[in-house]
Amino acid sequence: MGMSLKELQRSFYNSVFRKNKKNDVELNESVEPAMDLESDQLVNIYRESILGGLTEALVQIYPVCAKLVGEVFFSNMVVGYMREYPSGSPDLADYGYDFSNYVATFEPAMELVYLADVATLEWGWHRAFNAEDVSSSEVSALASLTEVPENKQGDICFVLTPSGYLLRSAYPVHKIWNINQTDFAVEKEGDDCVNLNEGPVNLIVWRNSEFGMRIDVLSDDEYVFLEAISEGKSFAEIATLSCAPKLSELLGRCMQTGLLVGFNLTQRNV
Amino acid sequence: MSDTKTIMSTALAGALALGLATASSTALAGKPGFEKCQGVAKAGMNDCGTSKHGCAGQASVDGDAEEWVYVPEGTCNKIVGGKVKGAK
Amino acid sequence: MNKTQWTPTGEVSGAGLGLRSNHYQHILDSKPDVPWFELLSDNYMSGGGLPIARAEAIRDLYPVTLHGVGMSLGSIDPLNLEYMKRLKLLVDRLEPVYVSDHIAWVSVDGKYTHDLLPLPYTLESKQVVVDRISQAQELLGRQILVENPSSYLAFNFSDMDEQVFLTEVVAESGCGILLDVNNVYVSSMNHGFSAEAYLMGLPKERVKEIHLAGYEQKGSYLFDTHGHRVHQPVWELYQKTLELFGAVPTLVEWDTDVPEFEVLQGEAQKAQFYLDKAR
Repeated sequence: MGMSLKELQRSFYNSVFRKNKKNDVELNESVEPAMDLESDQLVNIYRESILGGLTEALVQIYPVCAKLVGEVFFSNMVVGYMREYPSGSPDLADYGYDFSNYVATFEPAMELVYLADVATLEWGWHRAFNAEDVSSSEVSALASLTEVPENKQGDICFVLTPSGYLLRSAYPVHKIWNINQTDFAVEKEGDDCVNLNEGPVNLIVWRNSEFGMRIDVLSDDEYVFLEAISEGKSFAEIATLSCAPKLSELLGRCMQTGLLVGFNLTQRNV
Repeated sequence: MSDTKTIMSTALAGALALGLATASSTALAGKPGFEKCQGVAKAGMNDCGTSKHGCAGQASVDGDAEEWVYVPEGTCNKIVGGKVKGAK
Repeated sequence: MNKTQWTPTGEVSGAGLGLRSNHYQHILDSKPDVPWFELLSDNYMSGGGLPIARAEAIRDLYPVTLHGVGMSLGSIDPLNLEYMKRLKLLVDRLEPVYVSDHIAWVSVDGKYTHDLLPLPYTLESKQVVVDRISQAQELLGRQILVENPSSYLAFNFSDMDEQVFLTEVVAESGCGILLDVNNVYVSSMNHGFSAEAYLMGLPKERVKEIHLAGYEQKGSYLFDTHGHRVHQPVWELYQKTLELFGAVPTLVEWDTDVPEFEVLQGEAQKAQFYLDKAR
């Protein structure tokens, strides 16, 4: 009588991620030594395969982070992440969403103060690339904004494009991202350097209607406006925010660029 | 309250006068953004495919690595300035 | 549901190729003469963006099948219903001829390894796999195919050989077999069983699709990397497979260090040569 399937799968998982050495004993006793290898070496084939596969996935999502710190540093950094943050989805594209949290607390990377924000930017890129498409009928419905009666205008909730991913950083992470792109070309000396003293940026990562991927720099007003929309705030609420004086321009440009793709009317009593 | 209403109706009228989505890549703040056209596609996450085993051997499996591996050796030497948090 | 209703939508025949993202554009531009493509369902789960748009464009030109690693059919966990829902949407959108996954477990307690892990071949495992497959087929409203994995370890308390396990799973769940000839070879070498005896133990009428790929010798064992041309012993085993099962639609997979499209096409043409001989 061997282990139950439940025991076996749990010990296997824990052994792969080195959670509990005690489990390994029972697991190893259930594995037939073969191919001139001991039981634990056989389990190790799978361990390397799993951790290698997850590392590969993280390199794909976070190529700039990997390039900034180098391959050796990166692969060692992600081992801790893989152990502490299990993947909770069968879709590998969902894995790694909390990597920037891990980077922010990863002691050897502390001096690279911008690294966690670069990770956030890369996650935004990854999500925007895979985000749902914009429904064109919804976009054309924007024209019917003119038909919303004045006393209902406060109930309007604008819809941000599903790919829109907003972030703020104390550092010019979009420039760090850019100089680390494989197709980045240095035109004059110093082009490939970034000075952190350039200060904070507001960014949106998104995908336009031709599958073009964009990173745009936002003014404070634009950021406040789009953040409020992404949080589901109504037009009435937005009209009280710091961006209110610019609302006409903000709204117009965001509809023109395709960042706003529709609107709903909330069931709010004004 | 009526102030807010005025702001809203003015904003809507002004915004719609500009017309709807035309140029999909107009820069916003007037500062240059970055665009990658569709030709630059990411590899599929699962292109490693049904043989995840192909990815093996790239991880540092034990994680109890020597200290030297924690010296970043990438392009981070191109990033200058900024206050170093927690510098020793 | 009446299992006789589970007839595939459309048909594939001949030697197809696994679609990988670096070949999308080439295929759409040059429309190569390939009888069908197999798409990795897990690459299109988000339902939006460039990958699914390209997949749909290719679907308009060629018959397709869908192959995935996410069902975790051998896990003690219940089927992930959210995943199945997304898969169903994808199936409705791409109308694949076959939908397949593996005889393996991928997750436990909701934690995913994204790798195909080995099962002990016991009655308990069989029941788990049969239940998951049956439920998956109900949810998708169609038959699925399950693939034999490559394996690098065996549990000493297994009650039966893999081909017996597979045969019984197929009989009890009503699913079909995606027979990976490379995996049979790799596992037979690693565990020292007869690949031919394995093949002869399988139910002929249930083998709906064949996979071929290249392995790699790693020290004392063979490793299924899908990073090489199909090796000679696998071509030989493939010919025996065709003698046993007939000209079953065959797919060449290449996942690691994916070469130029023409190299893949060459491998498919070689498979097609053997398929033509087997007709």
